[in-house]
Order: sequence, then structure tokens, then C-alpha cells
Amino acid sequence: MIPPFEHHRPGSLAEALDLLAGLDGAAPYAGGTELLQAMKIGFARFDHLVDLKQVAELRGIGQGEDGWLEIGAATTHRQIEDSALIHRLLPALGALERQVANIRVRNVGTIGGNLCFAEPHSDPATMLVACDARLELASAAGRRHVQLADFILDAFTTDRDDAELLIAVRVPPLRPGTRISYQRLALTERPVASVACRLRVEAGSIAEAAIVVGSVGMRPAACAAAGQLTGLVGADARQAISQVAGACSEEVDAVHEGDASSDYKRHLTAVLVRRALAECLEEAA
Amino acid sequence: MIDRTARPTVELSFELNGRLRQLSVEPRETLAEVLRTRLALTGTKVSCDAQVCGTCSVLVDGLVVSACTYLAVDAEGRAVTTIEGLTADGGELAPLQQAFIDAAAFQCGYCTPGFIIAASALLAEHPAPSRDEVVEYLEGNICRCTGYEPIIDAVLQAARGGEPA
Repeated sequence: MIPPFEHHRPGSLAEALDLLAGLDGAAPYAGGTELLQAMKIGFARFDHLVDLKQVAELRGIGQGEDGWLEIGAATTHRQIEDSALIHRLLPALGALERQVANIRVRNVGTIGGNLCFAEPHSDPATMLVACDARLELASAAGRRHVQLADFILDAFTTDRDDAELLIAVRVPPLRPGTRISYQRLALTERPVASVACRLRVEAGSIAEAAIVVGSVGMRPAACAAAGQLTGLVGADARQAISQVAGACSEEVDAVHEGDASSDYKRHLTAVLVRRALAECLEEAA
Repeated sequence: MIDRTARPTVELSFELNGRLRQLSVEPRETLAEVLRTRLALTGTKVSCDAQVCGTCSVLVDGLVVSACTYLAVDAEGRAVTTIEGLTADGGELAPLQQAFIDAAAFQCGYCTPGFIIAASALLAEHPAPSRDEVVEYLEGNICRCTGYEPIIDAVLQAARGGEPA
């Protein structure tokens, strides 16, 4: 059984922030798919749970005036998967959300919960880091913005203060010529390795490249080796794939996990980076 | 620190299988615990207790959820459907339930309520799914006995109004 706690259901953002500021040992939750599981197995313990599902400011998927995609923190994976706007602006995210865990977790679990729980195998985190996502957080003191890449610090560790709430995830608009590929290998529900690759091709050459590796280490890791692709054209780019994939596999911090040794994870990193780059460049052909 | 020996309860009000229910629960009780223990509805099973296997599947506002990791208090004001709710008051089985019998889609039966609940959500969303769509939708439900084929057959049969292929 989950250890006892007091349950709170604020009706507004202000009320929720007040509660978090005033209570000791409180955790906010929306779907609870990760948090409640952790509490069940004794991995986490809280005296108070604050239900965010009635906080309207956390809901909704929209496009800001600056063209950025805005996803409310309490948006479920299923809502993202089914969203026509996301299908138009960032279809790679919609496709990826369809693969998260299983349908029950997708119906209940939220993008905000996923990012704040900072599970090293999070698919959305890996993809969104590659897309330069930015987070909006709120506390009684006001609002702040932080890059997702800087928000996730370590396994299950983020930059969020206990009295802060994630309000929304914001993603900059994709510039013309952008291709995104997401590759993952999952033996059960969580991937053993995952790679998000975003390339932008302009006037025939690669103007921008981002490669982010997830599940292999403690947090999604951007590979500096992606820089080797900048400026390359057509055949040169395709020839660089193996070299870049190898460089990424050496760069990542691979943590042994169960049946997956660090070497195996490095091997998978190279394979998945190769596939992701090939897919991106194929689209460019 | 809260007093963990006190076990305070809160009032929960929700629609269960079409009827309004009001009862006192501890905030920490999961929907599965409340259904099985307080309400004696043991059709919903608990197996992995980790949201992976699907035996605890129930519908909340039409969506399949893992009752093992869903707080009962989160059902406040919502409509919950369990396997017991699919059978009519007079005892007539729902078409899906009958199809599972006709297609011999269960052996030990432990995963069966979860599969039928998930399939009912599928058919409500997609009344005429393809075989691939059935497989994809039910991917998160695990069966150790049947090898899945008769389960898929049963769902497709129910979608066809009970007609075997």
C-alpha cells in the first residue's frame, strides 16, 4: 500500500503555489503514474500530495504569438499523440508520444510529470532536448524560464524547487529544411537506448545538427560530435555518418543497467545514431 | 510530520457502472484497492501492481487506466466502468464478453477482464478496427496462456456484431 498522506485539490494556480510554499513534505502530481509507483515501492515518501488536475493554467496545447508550440504541463501523453496542432507543428513528437509506455500510462500520465520526474529513459525528454525545448516554471515569487537541457540535472533530479510548478513546455518553431528522426530500442517498456536527431538542411548543406542520446546515461545527453556535420553536403554528409555515430558512442556516459552493459549501450548508441542520421539525410535526398 | 496511525478518510463521490456511489476512503487507497476491498468488485485483478500487465484495467471517463496506480480520490466526479459494469442488470453478457467465450479467448481468465475493458474502449473509439489496430491498442495487456490470437479474434468478432470470421 502507498504510505498515508493528506490529499489536496487546489482549484487554481495561486492556490496550488500557496499549498506548495506552505506545506512540508508535499509533492505536486497530475497523473501520478511515476510518483505513485515510486511511493508504492518505498522509493519516495510524502506527507502531502497536491493534485494539479483542477489547475486550468496547466492545460491546453497552443501556439504562441511568437510561433512557439506551447504544451501545458498537465497535458497527457495521449492528448499530445492525438493533437492536430502537434501533428502539424511537431509530428515527430506526436509519433513518439504514441510509443511511450502503454496506453494506460499515456491516458493518465502527463508531459509535465514525465519531465519533472526526470527518469533517465524518458522518450519525451530526449526528443524535446533535441528540439531546444524551454520550460516555464512558476512559484509564489513569480515566473522563470529555463532550457530543458539545463533543467534535467541527473537521474530523477531537476532544477525545480520544491515550491515551484512546471507550467508549460515551449518548443521553438521548426525552420524550413528541418528533419527529425527518433530511434529507440526497447526490450520491455522502457528503452535501453534512444536517439533524437534534428538536422536542418539549407542550400544543400547541413546548417544545423543536434544529436541527443537518452536512456544510456543518467540524463539525455547532447553529443558535441553533431558539430562534425555542419557544412557538409550530400554524399559527404552520408559518408560522415559512421564516423559521427562512433564519436557519439564514445562521448556518451554509458551506465551499466541490468542486462545492458556499458559496452552494449555504447554499441546501441552508434547503431541508433547511424539510423537516425540516415533517416534524416534520406529525407533530404 | 503527519500522524500515520490516524488513518483519516475523505469523502469520495463518483459514478460506478452507471450508479452514483459515495463512500469514505483513505487518500492513499488506489482505485483497485477500493473496488476490490471496500466495494467487493473483484473482477478487476491486480497482478504486476506496476501498470505494465493490464489486469487491473478499468475505464475512467471512457479511458483505460491502471487501477493499481490510480488514486481512488482521483475518481471524484468521474465515471468509472469495471468489468462487472459490462454485464447487463439482467445478467446478459456484453457482445465482447460473449465473443471471448465463443472464440475461446481465455484459459486461466486472470487477464480477461483487463483485455475486455481495453477492447471495449477500443471499440467505442474505433467500431471497425483492423487486426493491426486491435493488436496495437491491446499491446499493453499481457496474457500468459492464450498466445493472444484468440483474443484478437474475439475482439474482431465482437466488432462484426458477433459473427465469426
